[in-house]
Amino acid sequence: MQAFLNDNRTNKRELWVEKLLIQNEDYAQHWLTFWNDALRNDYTGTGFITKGRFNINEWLYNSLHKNKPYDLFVKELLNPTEDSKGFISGIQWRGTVNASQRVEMQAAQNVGQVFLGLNLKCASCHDSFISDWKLEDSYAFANIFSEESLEINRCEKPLGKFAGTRLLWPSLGEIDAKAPKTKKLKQLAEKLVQPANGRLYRTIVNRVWKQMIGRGIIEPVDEMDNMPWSSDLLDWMAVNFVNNGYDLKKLIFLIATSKSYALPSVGLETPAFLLSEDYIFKGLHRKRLTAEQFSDAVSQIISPVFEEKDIKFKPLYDAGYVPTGQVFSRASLVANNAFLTALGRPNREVVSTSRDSQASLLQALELTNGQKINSILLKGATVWKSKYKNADLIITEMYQRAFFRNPKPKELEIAKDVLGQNPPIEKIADFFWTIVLHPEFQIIK
Amino acid sequence: MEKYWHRRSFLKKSAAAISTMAMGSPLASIMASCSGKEKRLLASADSVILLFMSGGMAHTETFDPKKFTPFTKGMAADSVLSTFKSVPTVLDGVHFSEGLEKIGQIMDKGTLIRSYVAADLGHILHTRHQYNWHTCYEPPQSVTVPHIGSWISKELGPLNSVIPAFINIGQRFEVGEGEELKAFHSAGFLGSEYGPFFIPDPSSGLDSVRPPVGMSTKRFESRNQLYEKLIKESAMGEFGSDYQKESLKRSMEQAYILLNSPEAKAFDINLEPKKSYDIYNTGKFGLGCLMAKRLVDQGARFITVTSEYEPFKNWDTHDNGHTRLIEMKKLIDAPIAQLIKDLDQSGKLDKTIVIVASEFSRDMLTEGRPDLKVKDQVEVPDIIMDMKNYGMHRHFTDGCSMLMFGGGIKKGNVYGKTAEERPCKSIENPIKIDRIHQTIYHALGIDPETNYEIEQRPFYTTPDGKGKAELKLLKG
Repeated sequence: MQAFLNDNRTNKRELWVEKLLIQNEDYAQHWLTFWNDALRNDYTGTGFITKGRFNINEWLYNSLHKNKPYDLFVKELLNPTEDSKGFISGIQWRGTVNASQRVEMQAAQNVGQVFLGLNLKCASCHDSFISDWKLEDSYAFANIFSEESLEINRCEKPLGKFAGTRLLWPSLGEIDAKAPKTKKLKQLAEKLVQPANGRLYRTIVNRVWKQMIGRGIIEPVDEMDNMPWSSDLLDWMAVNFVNNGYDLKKLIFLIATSKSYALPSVGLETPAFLLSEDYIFKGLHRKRLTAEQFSDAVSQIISPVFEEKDIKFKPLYDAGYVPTGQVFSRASLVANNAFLTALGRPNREVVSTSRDSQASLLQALELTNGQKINSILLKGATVWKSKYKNADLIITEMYQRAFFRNPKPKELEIAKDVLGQNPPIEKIADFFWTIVLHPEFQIIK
Repeated sequence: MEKYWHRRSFLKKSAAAISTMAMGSPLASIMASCSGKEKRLLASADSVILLFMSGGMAHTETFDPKKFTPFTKGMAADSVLSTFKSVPTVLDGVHFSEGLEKIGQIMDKGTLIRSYVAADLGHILHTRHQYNWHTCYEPPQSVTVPHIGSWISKELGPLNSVIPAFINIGQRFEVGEGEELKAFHSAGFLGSEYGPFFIPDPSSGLDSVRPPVGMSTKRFESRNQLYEKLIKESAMGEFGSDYQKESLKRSMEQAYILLNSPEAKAFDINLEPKKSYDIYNTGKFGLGCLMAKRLVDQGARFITVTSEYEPFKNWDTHDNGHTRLIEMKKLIDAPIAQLIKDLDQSGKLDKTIVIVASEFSRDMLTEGRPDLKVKDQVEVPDIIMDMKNYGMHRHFTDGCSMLMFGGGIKKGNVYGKTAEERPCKSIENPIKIDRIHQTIYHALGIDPETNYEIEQRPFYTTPDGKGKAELKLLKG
């Protein structure tokens, strides 16, 4: 960070963003969290009793690492190989399941939500009250994921009718209703990713924008029928994305080097403003660190939160990569646990496309008296104690690492007052604690 | 910004919708709600204690005994209705199964429901039925669904701001079907702020609410002082209102207050006088009841104590049903009775609903319900030669017992009835989970049509907002 600030080149932002994006491991491990939430992957729950769910960790990691073009990325999830079949396979519960939650319908709902930003959940039971989607549309779309045509159920009552097999927008082309499932999926994949399907690309561009800026051009990001605050911007970015070979890194580069991204960040009194109709874009919205970002940041500046044994999934090693300069286990590779859950990692039973950045009492308790955080801080403090001679050094070094600035004289004085000139390990750990829970550390400006 | 929604006007209004939130995303403040606190109805209760008999508690072996058939080698399986004698209770003509005498003596303080009917969820899986009991919805759902404790915590907030509003005692998640258990031990889309505060083992409950192990109170306090001072000094402290910062500050303060508060002593059951402690101490469940009592005394809102679900353990009797139930009754009889007595004595029972329930019942022969049987999971010989086959080993959904006390629940009341002969199914006033939930909400003064808009659809406390309170369970 200091190096960036000291860099005097006029195009330094471009150069630095580029430098960050070519770090393939870091890029993959960062975006893994977002995609695991969205594809409800890296999940250990219910579906595994009946083998209804499959992880796609390997596929996902490699796709991100190689920066797979987005059209191909989507195609491989829709018309999957053995490695990527997890997304369209649903949870197969034991017992009877309501018709709107059979696996084919789950697939239709998830594909609709994640890739097309539309909600078929209402229309899986009855004609939607909130959009134009009809019950028949949902069934026709779900039939693509089914060997046999599904009988339409309205609010759990079978109607003795069938819906045919088709895409949600007839203009995208036709699906051969009589074809076997594998062939239908192939057609689905081909037709959805065609450039004419602007919906697919506007949806992803909007999601990436939200991840980086804090608020989508359209909100909620799963409701792409809503009005954008700038349709010109959204359309232009979507076209640009397609013309750039569906390259997600180029999209990120575009946003990260834009004037919008460089504007000073904006704080909000209430998150409701983000969704209000009067929303006006004024700059980046402040975010709180996610569970993974917080863990990684603590790992980086104090002591590793997770050890190698916590890594559930080792794509680095499996793929023969040599980790570059990385000495701690990134939280995105660690299986969900009580610590990450408390900090807000979802259980990934259902698709989740945004996390909230408010704190809660349960989180605060985990971070105040939780064994995990306190033992890590103590461990870090032990190392620092032997490394830095006195309180001044510890405080200054920590402010630089955590806040990218020197402590103000008053801050130095307060901290020194508590630490003493030759601080014991416990005091150092306590000082660390105040730092990692400090809003300046917790909130991304 | 809370909005008042009425079902009929719902479609006409345009609302601030939330996108699919991660589980544990407290965006509740931006969800449209029909439940402004000022709308709270007249309440007869403030707190709830749910004592959950996880694993399926046979009604015929507990609160609804039928003809006793003692074990004899070579007996016909279909001749066994109850494996215990019946004993009288304080209510005329009402009998319990042997081993529940103490609870029998407090039935003048509450209502016995004998006609709970569990949902039809096909091939039976405990955790699915538990999910249904606790959320009122049938899994799977396309959004993460809140536990009843989360709804209550969201609508009413904590009773005493120091004590977490929703406390969950006794369930570990490493004992089997952990993920299935987690699926409903959640605030779902309401956000983790309303999620359960877990005390897996009441004996070490204090650990969850005291300064970190090895840290003195003095050090804990000085750490917090340093924190506050440093925040004040940084530029961040000067920023105007920033909701993330505010929520962080608020939560940290709450945590600090709780961890440092005298009320936190309620979690320390070792402070209980020995005489009282010993009565409750039948095991983990009994101590959980003791903690529940202490927490309600300090103003807890919703507490659940579970006998703990662990596949094939506790109430989940796939064999040795009779022998196992002797133990299970010992575990629950004294502490439940004492809890009611203690709450009654302190006056808390007037405002606290205590519920004893299970996800379904058991029978020797019927799996599911008589007119909709499902695939058997336990082999039951026609002729019983071995004690291990003597007991209720199949899952029965059509007649389960439940107890409710306090907080406006009718006293000395029996609701519903099951047949005397097999299948001992509900034959009077069958009652399902949505009515149970709505009865609880009613007593707490929570509007029956409470709903939040999630993914542009209204999501009600009970499916489609259709559940109705059963007023016959409540005092007039």
